[in-house]
Amino acid sequence: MIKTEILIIGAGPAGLGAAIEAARLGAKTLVVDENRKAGGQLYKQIHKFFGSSEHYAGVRGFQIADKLLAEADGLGVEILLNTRALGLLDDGTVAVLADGKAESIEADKVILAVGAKENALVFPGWTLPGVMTAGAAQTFSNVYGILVGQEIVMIGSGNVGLIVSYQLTQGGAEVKALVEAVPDVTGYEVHANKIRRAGIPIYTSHTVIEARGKDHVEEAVIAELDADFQPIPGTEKTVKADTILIAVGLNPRIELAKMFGCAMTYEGALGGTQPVHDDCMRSSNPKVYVCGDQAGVEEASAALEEGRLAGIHAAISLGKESADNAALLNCARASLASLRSGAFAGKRRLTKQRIMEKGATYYAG
Amino acid sequence: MRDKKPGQAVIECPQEIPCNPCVSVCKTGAITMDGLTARPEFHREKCVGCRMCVAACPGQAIFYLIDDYDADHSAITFPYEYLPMPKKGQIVTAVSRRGEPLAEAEVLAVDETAVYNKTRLVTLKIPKTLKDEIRFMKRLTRED
Repeated sequence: MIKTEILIIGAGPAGLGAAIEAARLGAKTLVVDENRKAGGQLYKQIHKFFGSSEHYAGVRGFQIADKLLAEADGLGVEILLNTRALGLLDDGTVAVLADGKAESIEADKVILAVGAKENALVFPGWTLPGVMTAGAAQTFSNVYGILVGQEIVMIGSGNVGLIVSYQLTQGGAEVKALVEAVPDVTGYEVHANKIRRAGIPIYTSHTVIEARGKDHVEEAVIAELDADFQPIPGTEKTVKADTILIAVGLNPRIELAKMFGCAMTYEGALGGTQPVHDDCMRSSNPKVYVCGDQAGVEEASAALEEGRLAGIHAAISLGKESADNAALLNCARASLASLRSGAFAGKRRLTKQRIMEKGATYYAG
Repeated sequence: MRDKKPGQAVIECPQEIPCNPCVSVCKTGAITMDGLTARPEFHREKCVGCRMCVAACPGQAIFYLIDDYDADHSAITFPYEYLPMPKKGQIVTAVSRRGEPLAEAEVLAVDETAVYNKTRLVTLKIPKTLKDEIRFMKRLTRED
């Protein structure tokens, strides 16, 4: 049995943010991650991040991961890699599979930072090799240096679809079309403009209705959609492609939170079913914190700040002292709020507010 | 390339997104912002033409334009993150915001420094009549 004060599951931006802040306050902090390398999705992000300098704006994602890992290391955070959290045991400990060996971990507080998974999209031919998620293609190219194809059709104009289109173009692929079912680009306009300048056509109110090919994708059939998202007959166009990528959103990974008995809610704008939490990132289970995409899909900077908030509160609740606990918590909240300000983030902001109101009911009085 | 001819940053940042490296990187206060998600404001009289904002903008939404490079030409600088890189003196195809080819253009400069953090700045000599349309160049292939 391994003993720690704070156990963090997931070493992406949220988990590392939590670990850094908890360790800074003097808590014995252990992070487990199922991957061979810590940093989560940050190592796939070769573009410069938005935000302000306190959120590492202008720094590329993989560089942010390097900084966070160095900081965590300097603060004495222990990270167990190749270690998958399996779930909760009857005695309250967390079962993990560490390098193929089962272990249990006893912790005073558990911070879940397990992220999200990509949504699928079903259309005729979707099981053909060559159809995959945008995140998978990004992992191949940016982690393993393998371009998944030469002629790409991207589905989805959120930031993932836009950024992966840009990155695959940088890698030497040709993005033949980016289709978006709704009438407007859903990601940042500046990301869309970047790929427009590169000559990538963006078709709004369009989707892929079929992938064709003998034993691999050879072409994508795209069509215009009406106001009810039904393909308009006669608008079909065939695009020669060897790869169709799906970037139609993500949904929170909630399996562990469910095992810990965390109360759930449904918020479509943040990816679907997710645990509720209060403004300290506490779930309905006072022992368990939730943060990052698993607590509502946003982006890496917000995940990092949510993690920091969870880490600070978890450490304080274990009696760790800072010069001013309230100021520390409020500073993390303000940083998070700044990322959710502005007209573009209105829906996210309101949705998060609703989740926190629900979460707060578990701690009223 | 630091040209002494007067120019200006052209900021094409249409949405209120949480981002301000253009403000942090500008040493003369020529770009200001009223809060992290406000849209940036440009003060031409304070701009010294360093082009740091062009390299810093994560959205690649800032361009640097010298209206009067010579009698018939303007010069435009934009960020470029593709390979192969163009070379100074090379003739390339200048394109619009939608990637449509608009003119042949000479590469006046290709700049790269550590502080740009792996982004290169390309400056093209373009017809003055197209200075409000040209924003990029056709990506080069290995054959170019």
